[in-house]
Amino acid sequence: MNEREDLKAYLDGELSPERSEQMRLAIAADPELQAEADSFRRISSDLQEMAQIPPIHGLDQALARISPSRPWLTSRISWAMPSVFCLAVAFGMSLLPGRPSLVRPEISAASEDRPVAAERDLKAKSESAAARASASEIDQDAMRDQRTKSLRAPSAAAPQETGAGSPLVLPTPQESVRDTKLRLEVASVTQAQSLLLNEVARAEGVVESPGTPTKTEVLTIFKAKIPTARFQDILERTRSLGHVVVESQSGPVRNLTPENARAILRTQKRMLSDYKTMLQDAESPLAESPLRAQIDETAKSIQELEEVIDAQKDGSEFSTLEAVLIPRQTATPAPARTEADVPFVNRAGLYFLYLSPLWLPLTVWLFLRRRRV
Amino acid sequence: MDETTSRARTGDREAMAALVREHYAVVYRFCVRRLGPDFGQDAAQETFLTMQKSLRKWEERSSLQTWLLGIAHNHCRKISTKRRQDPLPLENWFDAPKDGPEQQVTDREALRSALSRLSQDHREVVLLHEIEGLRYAEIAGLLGIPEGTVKSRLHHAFRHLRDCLGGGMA
Repeated sequence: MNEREDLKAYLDGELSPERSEQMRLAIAADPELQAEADSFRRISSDLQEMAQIPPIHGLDQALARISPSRPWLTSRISWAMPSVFCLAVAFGMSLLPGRPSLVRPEISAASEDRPVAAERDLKAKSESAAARASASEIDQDAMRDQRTKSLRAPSAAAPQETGAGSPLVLPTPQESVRDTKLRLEVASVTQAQSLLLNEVARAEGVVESPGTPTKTEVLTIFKAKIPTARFQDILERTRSLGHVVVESQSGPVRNLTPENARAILRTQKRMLSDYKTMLQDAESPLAESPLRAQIDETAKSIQELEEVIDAQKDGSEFSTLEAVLIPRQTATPAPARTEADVPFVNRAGLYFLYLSPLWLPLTVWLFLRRRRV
Repeated sequence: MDETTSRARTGDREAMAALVREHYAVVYRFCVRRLGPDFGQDAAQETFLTMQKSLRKWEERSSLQTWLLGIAHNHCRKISTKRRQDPLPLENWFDAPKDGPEQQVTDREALRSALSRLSQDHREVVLLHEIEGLRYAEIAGLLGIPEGTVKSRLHHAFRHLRDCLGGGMA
C-alpha cells in the first residue's frame, strides 16, 4: 500500500490503529516521507492560525424566531392550512339551510330542455306577434274577400244598392273563427283527452282523431270538427286545460253573421242579373267570353253562400281544432338541475371552488415559502 | 441522543432554545465564512428555523452538529447561487495578514495564494477539515460523497499546496 497516499489521513488520525502503526514505522524509516509529513503539519497549522473567527451576532434574534411548539399536523402541512380551512367553510356553507345560490339564473335557463325552451321562445314571440298581427291579419282576409267580391261586381256601386247598411260588414277580429292548432302542456294527457272528447260531444262536434289511446303519458294529437257557433267556447275550454306553448290559426274566417251573408247573397244575385243583361246586349262575340266566365263564377259564389246560410240555419258549419297534448313532466327541466337536488359533496365542492381565489394563492405562497426555507 | 435533543424533538421550546445556544456559534461562523456577516446571519437563523421544523425527521445518522452544518450548507449554497457569488470566498475565511515576522507574513500570503488555486472541491474539503474541524466521515455526510473520496481529495490538495509553496514551507 502506498504510504504517501495515507500520509494526510495518518496525520489526521483517520487510519485504523494497525495502519497507523505501519505509517509511523514508515515515516521513521523514510526521511523524505518525514519531510513531507512536516510540511503537511505546517500547512495545516498555518491554515488554522489564519482562519477568521468572526464574532457572534444574532443569537437573540435566532432565539426569538423559535416559535412555540405547534401541533404535529400544523407543523407538517402548514402550507395546506388555508385550503383545509376553506374546505371546512365550504362544507359548513353546504349544511346551512339558507345557503347562497349555486345556480345562476342564466345557467338554469340554459339547463332547460332545448326543444321546450325553443317552444317557449316561440310561444313568447307568437304571443307578442299575434297581438300585433291578429287584427291586421284578419282585416287583410276581410279586405281580400271584399276585393275579390268587388272585382266580380259589374260596378263598384253595386253593393251599396243592396239596402240596409254596408253589405260587406264583416265580423270583428274578436268574433272571428278560424281553424286553430294548439300545442298544450298538460298535467295528464289521458285526462285532457277525455275532457276534450266530452266537450266536443257536448258541442255536437265530430272527433276526427282522438289521439293515441294509451295509459302512459306520451305526446298525442287530438283533432275535431266543431260547429263554428260553439268553436270559440270550446277553444277557451281547451286553452284552460294546460299551458299553451304555441297557438296558430289558419283558413278562412267562417263566422259571417247571417245578416252579412244574406247581404252578400243579395249583391251576388244582383251582379248575376247585371252580367246576364250585359251578355244579351253584347254586340261583339269577343265580349261574350269574359262575361260568361263572370256569370259562372258569380253563380258558384251564390251557391256557396246559400250553402253557408243553410248551414248556419242548421248549425252545421264546422271549424277544425287540433290540439297537441304534451305531458308536463317531459316538458319541464330535469329535477337534477335544481339546486336542492345537487348532491351534498358536489355542492361543497362548488363552494370550495368559489373560495379558490382565497385559498389558492395563500396555499401556493406558503408552499413556495416552505420550499425556500 | 441527549435529553435536551429528545425534549426538543417533542416540541419543548426551552430545549429547542438550549440547542440553539449550544450550536449557534459553529453554525453562524460556518455561514459567515461562506456568505459574509449579513447574509451569514440570515442563513444561520434560517438554519435553526429549519431545525425546529425538521428535528423530528432527523435520523441520527450523524451528530446533531453535522446535521445542522448540512442544513446550513444547503442554505448557503442556495443564497450563493441566488446572488451568483463564489460559494467559498477566501476573504471570508481568512483574516488579513497580521503583523509579525516578515517571513511568516510572506508564507501566509503564499499559502493563501496557493489555496485560491485549488479546485472548488479540493478547497471545500480542506476548509471543512482544517477550519471547521470536521472529521472525514462528517465531511462525507455533509457533501454526500464517499469517505474515501474525502481522504483522496485532502491528500491531493495538500500535495498541491506543498508543491505550490515549494521548499520554503518544507
